[in-house]
Amino acid sequence: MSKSVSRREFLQIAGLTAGVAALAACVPAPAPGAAQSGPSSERIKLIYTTWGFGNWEDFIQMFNESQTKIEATFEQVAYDAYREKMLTSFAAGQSADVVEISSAWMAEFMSKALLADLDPFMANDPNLSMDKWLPNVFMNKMHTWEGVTYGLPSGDSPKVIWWNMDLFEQEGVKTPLEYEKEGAWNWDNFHQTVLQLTKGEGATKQYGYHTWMGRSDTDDLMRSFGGGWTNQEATEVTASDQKSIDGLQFILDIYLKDKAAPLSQQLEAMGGGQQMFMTNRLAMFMSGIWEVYGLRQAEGLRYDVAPMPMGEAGRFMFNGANALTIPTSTKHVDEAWELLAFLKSPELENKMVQGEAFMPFQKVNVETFLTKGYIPTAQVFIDALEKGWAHPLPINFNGAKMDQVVGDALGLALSEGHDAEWTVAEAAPKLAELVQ
Amino acid sequence: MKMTMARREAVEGYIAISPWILGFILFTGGPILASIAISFSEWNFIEPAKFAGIANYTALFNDPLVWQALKVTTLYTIAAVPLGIVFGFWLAILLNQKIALLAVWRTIFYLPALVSGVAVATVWIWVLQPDFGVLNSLLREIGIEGPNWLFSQTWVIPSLVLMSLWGVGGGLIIYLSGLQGIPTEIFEAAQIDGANAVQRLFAITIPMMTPILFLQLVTGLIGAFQVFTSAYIMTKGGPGNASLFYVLYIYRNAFEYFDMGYAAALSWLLTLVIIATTLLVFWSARFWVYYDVDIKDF
Repeated sequence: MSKSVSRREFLQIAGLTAGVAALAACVPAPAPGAAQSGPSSERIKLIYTTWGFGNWEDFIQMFNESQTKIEATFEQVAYDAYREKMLTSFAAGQSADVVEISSAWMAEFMSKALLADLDPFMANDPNLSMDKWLPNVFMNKMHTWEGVTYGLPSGDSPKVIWWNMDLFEQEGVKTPLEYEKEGAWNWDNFHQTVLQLTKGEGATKQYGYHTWMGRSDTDDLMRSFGGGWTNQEATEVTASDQKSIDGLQFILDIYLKDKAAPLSQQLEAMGGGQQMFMTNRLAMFMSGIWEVYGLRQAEGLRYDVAPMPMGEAGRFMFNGANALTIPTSTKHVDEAWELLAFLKSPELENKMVQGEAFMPFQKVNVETFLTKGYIPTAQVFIDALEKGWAHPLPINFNGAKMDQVVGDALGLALSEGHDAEWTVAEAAPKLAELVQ
Repeated sequence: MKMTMARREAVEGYIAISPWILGFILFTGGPILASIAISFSEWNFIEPAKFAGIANYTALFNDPLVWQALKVTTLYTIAAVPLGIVFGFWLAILLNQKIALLAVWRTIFYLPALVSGVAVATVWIWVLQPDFGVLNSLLREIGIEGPNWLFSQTWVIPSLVLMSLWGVGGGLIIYLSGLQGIPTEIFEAAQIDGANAVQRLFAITIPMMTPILFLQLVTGLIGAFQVFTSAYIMTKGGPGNASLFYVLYIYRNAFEYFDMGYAAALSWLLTLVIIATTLLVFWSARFWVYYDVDIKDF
């Protein structure tokens, strides 16, 4: 038996079907990392959110398997959209229960009482008490505010100099570590090394050095010369001091006078600093531990790390260690601490150090890190913390605007060949409006 | 009570378009209204919004970057829109001739319009690379040392205008349909009267195409005022804010500085600028747009 369907009936059926499909699409899919078995309906549900890489789904699964009363899920958000999504969820009072927050944003969150005080929990946790951590990993305004701890250090690392062993051997140039052993790894010898490693022209040119010409990387260098864009509290602009100008001129000369560092137009066209390093067109670059992910993929590449050179005022290595936090908006602070304590437990950190490009922040895992073998002189990262070379960027609620001002001035200086005095004159008045 | 056929059709029509209406109210109309309220507030996402009166609007007039962004966007619009129309129209005239492999040529010239903005921007970074990019390499072949393009304050806007011409094929279909809608008898009559090709172009083709050119001008202007992707991907507004397009500046304030109130005020200023420009173009239409049917006859 057949029955013909009129156009009107067909449209009605199609509309109904579309409506049902739309409703069905609104039913949430099971979140990754959710426990697949057990009486999950009675468990307290928690969410952990981060932008960072790592085997988080596996780790959350491990946590869930160890629990009878909590069930955690994991949300990964790309870094570019992370702050927007995080702030939106905070504004709506629906933030995750454990949240990774960038060091650059922590001061604002801590000062506005949006994060839970972790000190009472740490004091009662034998694994995570203060004496278990490497020195200097808890930084003022990045993890602590007015003496109270609001975040546990997570991810990131101090920035070091990555150097290409093959290029150094090929050119017969003394390595940064040889200079360091002699106590002579200073800016003069660094400059000499950069020049020795720069050769060629055009698309195949080999460059001696690359750094990101932004506020954080240039600030380290200026501090090492005895200056800085601002004072450490970011309450006063110090860029016009002669030592700041000397530091800035030093790096501008490497780009503009020596032409020993790729300008952004060369860098973009050649696939970026890491790509140039991996294809033997860049001898040294400044960056953090995450570079290991890419560098390990390059077959036959031999690399190592060195500390930043010593300057008149000391050695400064920008450290952007992020923080794992518990928002005050969570309804389950105690349970959130259980999840946080698991994520920062020495055992889990050990797994991360073994399996991925993470540096440890806890003393017990240093040995594993040093013997893992994918960075020959991994001790440099530990030294940066233990010897106090690692420093945070001066923290300020206008940090993003300050980054923009300095970035604009440096961009112009590099593209139009201006010197440090011009660059400072361009940036300093605008910075003065932003310091607090 | 039984519904009449007309009423029933109307109800069904509304039901059919209700997803769009709901979508518009929830995701477009609602946010538009909310942005008016936000523009009168100080709101950084973290803390509740505070009423700020007209502070955001007065701040606009004291912010040199607003004027820089308006200047950059206006210069780009003035250069890119007319050039895009001229090149697109010219291309359409060429592809309206009886030549071999016409369909293939039309496809080739239309294809770039289908490529995503991010992909186009990435390719053009390579093309405009000063040291070994395609463009400067070609210029070097004829003895010209090309400029720094995207890395020069002087050349960055011309570079982006040049790049915008990549997409002129997008208007091709509209121009072609317009050209093919011109009655051939008019051309034949002109030819019999002795008009040459140039005279026919200026006396027949262009006047008959003015409604299409008008449409392209209006949509082109609105689009040019909202340029974002190329600047965001290729220049980040640099060097020295020389390519700080207005929408990029809105983005910076909203999603880098999280100053949502100010970003909303910036957005409303742009809306007013676009409305004013569009009204101006509509007013000017009476002097240069030719409709073969008198509007009042409708």
